[in-house]
Amino acid sequence: MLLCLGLLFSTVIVADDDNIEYKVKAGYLYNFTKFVSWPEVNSATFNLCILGNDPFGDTINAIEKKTALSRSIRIVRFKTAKALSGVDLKPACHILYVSGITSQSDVEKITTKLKKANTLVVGENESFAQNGGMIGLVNRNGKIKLQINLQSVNGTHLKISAKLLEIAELIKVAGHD
Amino acid sequence: MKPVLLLIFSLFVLSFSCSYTLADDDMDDYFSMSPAELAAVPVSIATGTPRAHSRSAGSTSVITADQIKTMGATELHEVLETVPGIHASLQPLTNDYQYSVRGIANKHNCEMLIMLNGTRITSPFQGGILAGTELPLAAIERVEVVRGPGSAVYGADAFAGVINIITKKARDINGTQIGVRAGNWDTQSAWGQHGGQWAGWDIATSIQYQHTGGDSGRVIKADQQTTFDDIFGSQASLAPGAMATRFKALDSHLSLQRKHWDIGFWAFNVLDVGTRSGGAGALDPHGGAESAQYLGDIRFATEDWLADWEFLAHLSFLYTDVNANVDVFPDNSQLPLGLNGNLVRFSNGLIEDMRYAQKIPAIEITSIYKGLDNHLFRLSAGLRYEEFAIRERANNNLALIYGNAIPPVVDGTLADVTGTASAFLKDKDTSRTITSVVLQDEWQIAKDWHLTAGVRYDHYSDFGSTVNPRLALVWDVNSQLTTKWLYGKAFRAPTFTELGSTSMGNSNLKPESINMVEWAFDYRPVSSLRTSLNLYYYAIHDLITAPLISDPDKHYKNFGEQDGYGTELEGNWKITEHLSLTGNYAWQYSRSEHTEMRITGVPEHKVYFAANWAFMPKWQFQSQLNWVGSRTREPADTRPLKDFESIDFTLRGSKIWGHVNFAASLRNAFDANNLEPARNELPVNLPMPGRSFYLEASVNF
Repeated sequence: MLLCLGLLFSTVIVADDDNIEYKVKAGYLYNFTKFVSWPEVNSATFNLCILGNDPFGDTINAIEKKTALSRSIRIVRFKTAKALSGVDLKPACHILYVSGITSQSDVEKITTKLKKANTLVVGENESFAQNGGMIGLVNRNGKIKLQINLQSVNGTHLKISAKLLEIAELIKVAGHD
Repeated sequence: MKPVLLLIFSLFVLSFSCSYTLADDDMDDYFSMSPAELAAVPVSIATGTPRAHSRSAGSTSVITADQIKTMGATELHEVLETVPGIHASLQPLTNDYQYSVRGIANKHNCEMLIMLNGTRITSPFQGGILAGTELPLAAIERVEVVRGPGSAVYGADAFAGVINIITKKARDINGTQIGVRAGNWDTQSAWGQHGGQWAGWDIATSIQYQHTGGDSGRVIKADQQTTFDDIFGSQASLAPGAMATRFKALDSHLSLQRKHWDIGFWAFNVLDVGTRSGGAGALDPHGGAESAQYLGDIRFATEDWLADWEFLAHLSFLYTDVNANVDVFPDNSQLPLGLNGNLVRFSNGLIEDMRYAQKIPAIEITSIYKGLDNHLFRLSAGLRYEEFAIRERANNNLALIYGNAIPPVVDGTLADVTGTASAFLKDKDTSRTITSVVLQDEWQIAKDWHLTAGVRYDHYSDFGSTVNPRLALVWDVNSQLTTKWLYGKAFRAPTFTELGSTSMGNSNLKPESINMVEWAFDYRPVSSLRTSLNLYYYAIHDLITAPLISDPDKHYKNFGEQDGYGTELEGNWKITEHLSLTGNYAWQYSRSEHTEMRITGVPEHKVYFAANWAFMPKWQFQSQLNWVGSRTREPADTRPLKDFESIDFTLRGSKIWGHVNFAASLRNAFDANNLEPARNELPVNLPMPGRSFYLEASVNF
């Protein structure tokens, strides 16, 4: 009986058609470059970083043909974030897509550190925004929806456009467990 | 209706032939979509739920709250009618909605398992959802339907399929909503919902009240009492008269969630429900029932405590209390119930009162091991206890009926007949214990190949043990095409009625069993079009059947072998940003091996088609068609049963001025006179609701 609930298992289960799911997620990431504004930085490229096992594979590479903030987009992949203790992600990331990390302490560590660098921290499941991440891309009834935690975005110089907020589910965290 | 069929066929053919418009490098399409467009792209094959569902041994449909609103449905059966191959018919005895799928139906029972948030609410008394439960939809977030055997995961009764009703959680409501709805037939409904956070918990709560006077146009021209009047010379029948379909209920939910914990509570109170076509096929406008059902659920998961292991515990308790007062035959009916078979006149009608309660506690412990690459192992063990108690009063106790006056007269005096020959069940208290073990492995054989293999063992304290395996092999041929091969075995446990009814019970019944194989395709040529097709074959053994009139042995028996095959086609096409089409067509051929005839009362063809037009921002209009064709009847049954059709129109406006939602719906717009098969005692088939409409408004804040 319990096996059917799905909800409980969603953290250990990937969606069925990974391909379309990650194409949609890549579509969102490109959209973020248009609907989020970053403060002026000295960087030759717009860095889209992927932390952990890259779930996109080749599908996202086409994004490098696009531009953001009048710069070409570059994908930077990090296998680990120095065991998360130092969270040393260089070069600076405009967007960091966090794959496979969902626990509250890890998400908080990454987000806290990267807030200073004005990195938009994006993750991929139900608990990501809840646990302090900025944007969670969640599979809700077979469609990828946005969850935005504005408390986490506060304290950065990032501005999220109302167009994005309009379609997102805003996550409020009442307090810590 | 043939043109409609043709249209749908050609749509599917079209959808399969216009492939390869986009090759692999379609990323630019996704980059050019707006956030709102991206949010509308279906990404998983089973429209959604995690792999557990799409990889289950069956074909899955998910209907979301949005889709429910769009189609204008207000009760569960309207939603299930849109699922490929499912037809909502009426249970011949209780006239509750009952679902047939793939030609699998049973006059006395439900061949599908019904669950609420993953906990079974199917009753062991008569099977199916408890009599009189017409689930309202305001509190429902989605309905998941798996067609095909599911016993390897869910145990008993997941025979022809599984219906899982998921209620709204805090994040689905996210604020407060209150709403009202009113329509013809004296129908009113009101609801309130709230979702938010408190002390670290996500909390959702909702309450809904619904009332209907019922469609007074559902007239039964002649009933069982009409036949008796002819035979016994009485004048008691209330036919022609309308079925008593009045209904009044209160439905409330509470959900508490936080990390590790998921707690739910459901209360469903039927304040009054009519007897529809009567307890024994004789109209009874005065009789009725009230009931209370409560379900408590606690789930705990270790989540990320351990790297390779996850442990889950699920405790649930279902409690139901029903009080029914029925005039089985109307005032002044005369029946041959005297000591010598002489006629007895029931001046206040033949009355039966039933009060029954069921208590079903259950626990299941599951462990998941994810330490081995490409494998996900699950082992779970469960224990369930089903207890049923019944108290009956009636005025047809033979001991009361004596005297020389012919015919003797029985007034309304009721006597306790619990456990006697006049009672419905032999035993006043029945119970059984069910223990189960489930073992399953999900194996990613290669990048594009995935195998789920599982087996479940169930031991019932009344009839013994059963083992049910399943296999599901899924191959992602390319990014547009997925194919699945499925095999599953399932069982339906005999109900307390089949085992222990006074007149027909048989305590030696075995469970019904089914084996089904299926080959399914899911094809998504472009992101705006999704199609699926399946082919299946099944064989049922030990079908539990009621005795025929000619049968000397008047008991339920495992006498029935049925096999069948068929296909289901489904398509979902978003033509433009404003216009989308959804449809499905199901065909089945199933036959009894004993009679070598088609299974009666189930549709050979089933069509659903909907067109949705978002004609202004925030506004949409949907028209939909349900059509059911070629239901056969028993050879001697001459009661008309023509094809069923229903067309609905629904207009919806969402978030007008930011907060207000509005809807208007016209149901069965052309007032088609649809019929469903009735019990043999009724000289006519059951009329279904005629044209109805409602207006609805709700406010979010």
